[in-house]
Amino acid sequence: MIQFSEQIGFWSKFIFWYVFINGFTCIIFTMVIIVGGFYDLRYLFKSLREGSVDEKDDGRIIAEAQQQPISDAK
Amino acid sequence: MNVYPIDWLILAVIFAAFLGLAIYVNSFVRSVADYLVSGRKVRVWLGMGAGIAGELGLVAVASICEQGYMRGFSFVLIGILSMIIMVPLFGMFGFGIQRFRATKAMSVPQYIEMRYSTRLRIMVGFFNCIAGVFQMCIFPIVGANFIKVLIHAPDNAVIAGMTIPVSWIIMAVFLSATIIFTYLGGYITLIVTNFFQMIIIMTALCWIFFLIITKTGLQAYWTGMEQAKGAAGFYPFSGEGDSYSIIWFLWMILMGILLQFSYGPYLQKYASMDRPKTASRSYLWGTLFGNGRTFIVLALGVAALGAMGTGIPSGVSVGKTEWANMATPYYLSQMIPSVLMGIFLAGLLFADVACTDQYILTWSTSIVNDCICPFKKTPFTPQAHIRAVKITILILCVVFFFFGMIYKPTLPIWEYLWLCANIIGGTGIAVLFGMYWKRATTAGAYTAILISLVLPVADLAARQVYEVVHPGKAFWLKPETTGFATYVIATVLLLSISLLSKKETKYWDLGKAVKEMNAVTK
Repeated sequence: MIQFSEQIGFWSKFIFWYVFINGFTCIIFTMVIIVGGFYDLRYLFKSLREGSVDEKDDGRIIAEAQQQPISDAK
Repeated sequence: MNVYPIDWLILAVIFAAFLGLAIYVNSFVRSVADYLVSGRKVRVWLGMGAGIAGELGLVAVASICEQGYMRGFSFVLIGILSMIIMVPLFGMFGFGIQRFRATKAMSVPQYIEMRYSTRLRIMVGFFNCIAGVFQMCIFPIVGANFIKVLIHAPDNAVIAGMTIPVSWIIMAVFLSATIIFTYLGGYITLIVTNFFQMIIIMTALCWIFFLIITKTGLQAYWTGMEQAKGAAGFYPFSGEGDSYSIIWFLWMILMGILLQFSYGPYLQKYASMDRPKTASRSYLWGTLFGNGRTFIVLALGVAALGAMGTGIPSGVSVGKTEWANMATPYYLSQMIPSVLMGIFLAGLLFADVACTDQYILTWSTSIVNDCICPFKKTPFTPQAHIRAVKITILILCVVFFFFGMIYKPTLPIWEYLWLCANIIGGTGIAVLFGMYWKRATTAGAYTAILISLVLPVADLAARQVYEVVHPGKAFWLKPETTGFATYVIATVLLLSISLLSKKETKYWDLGKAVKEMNAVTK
């Protein structure tokens, strides 16, 4: 397909094929992600519309939600 | 300029479409969790699609192109070696990332408070925010310079009788777009717009790459790089010129592992996933797929190297570091035709918005939640909480703009970004041991985090002093050696101090929580 430098040898050939295969796989996989992503978008909107709201879930540590300490930490 | 009316039209239409989408998505925000972590409803494909756009920001495109131009494809082998370690660890076993999702924390400092103490949370929040914000400061100016060279814009423009650098104007456009899109819906908008942005940027990058190969020919492309860089363009440990080194690689791997448990933008993404298993699946597919994506961007920098060589063209009066930044956009500006330029510009604008929004939302959330909320006697109402995050975003954008006005590159972008990340990585040691080792104590965590901050800063200061005492001589210790040694010393100290302490800890079994959450059928 193409001529590789004899001085560099193995690494040039190896990197070429590795990049080629990864680049090709990446393009195919992008299409899969796009299709799957549209399904997940529908799920996201549906669950945000129908889900309940927890006003305490705002990044604070609330006493009753804290975990019990383990006392045998020795 | 090499941008035609059709290109501006394409850019305007895509911008209007994204704006409409953001306004629609904004109507779904009903709580703080919706705004900050998408209500924790993101599933694997959408998370991956949005994650790609978030990671493929304009600053990442600029820095990967720069690496391709400076070091050819030698980064590929680094990618392979890190994948061999990282994919099984995080993608298959979900090491740490599944446990973090099971904590239901929104940020690293929140987990630090749950596991260690409120004071440590404030300290971690403060240091991580400083390092994160400092890292982000270069995003707008690096992006603006890339676009300026790409569209062949003049250095200055006259507006209302005042001469203003064009890069400042582009920077102002980027930051305004960032504010608009973060204000409209926060993380939900980010996830949705990032997903569509991924489609645009991937289309544009693949199209440009095929165009270059068609124009130059595959043989000429490859031979050009072989001749420009020799073995160092393929094998990262050759020791020639700008090549990487083994200790650099070890440091990067260790830091890469620790950042999975400490880097705010990564963890906010995991926190938004619907369950722990989604976080590791998303990592697995995202990493396997991400390599090809990185190589396509890297290939653009390599194309510039093969076509123009390593010398600075006549008529361009910049230094070596600055030229490495601008070589790829300079080359692309001569290669990209009209229409494709419009799509690429829209892709790059939203690449900047996608990445900057994700990072700015993370750090402003951390500033509000970890540095302001712990001092408040009464908690914010949900509306006031979101408003506080939005005001922080606005202030940060102003800071970034002023930083961009005075910024002069002295380091490759890639190295600057990792230097800032090194400080954040130290928190990962405390988080990792906190999740897996019941004897990890608050004192041990304090020590590990402080050591990870003090040693790199001391190293930086020592370099400055050495430069004054021995001008022109290289410092005897390489930055990567300091970085690697810092993490090893911090880990040893955390282990020793925790073992010496007999205090009880706030450890709880996250392994059980992961199993329970993963068992829930969706």
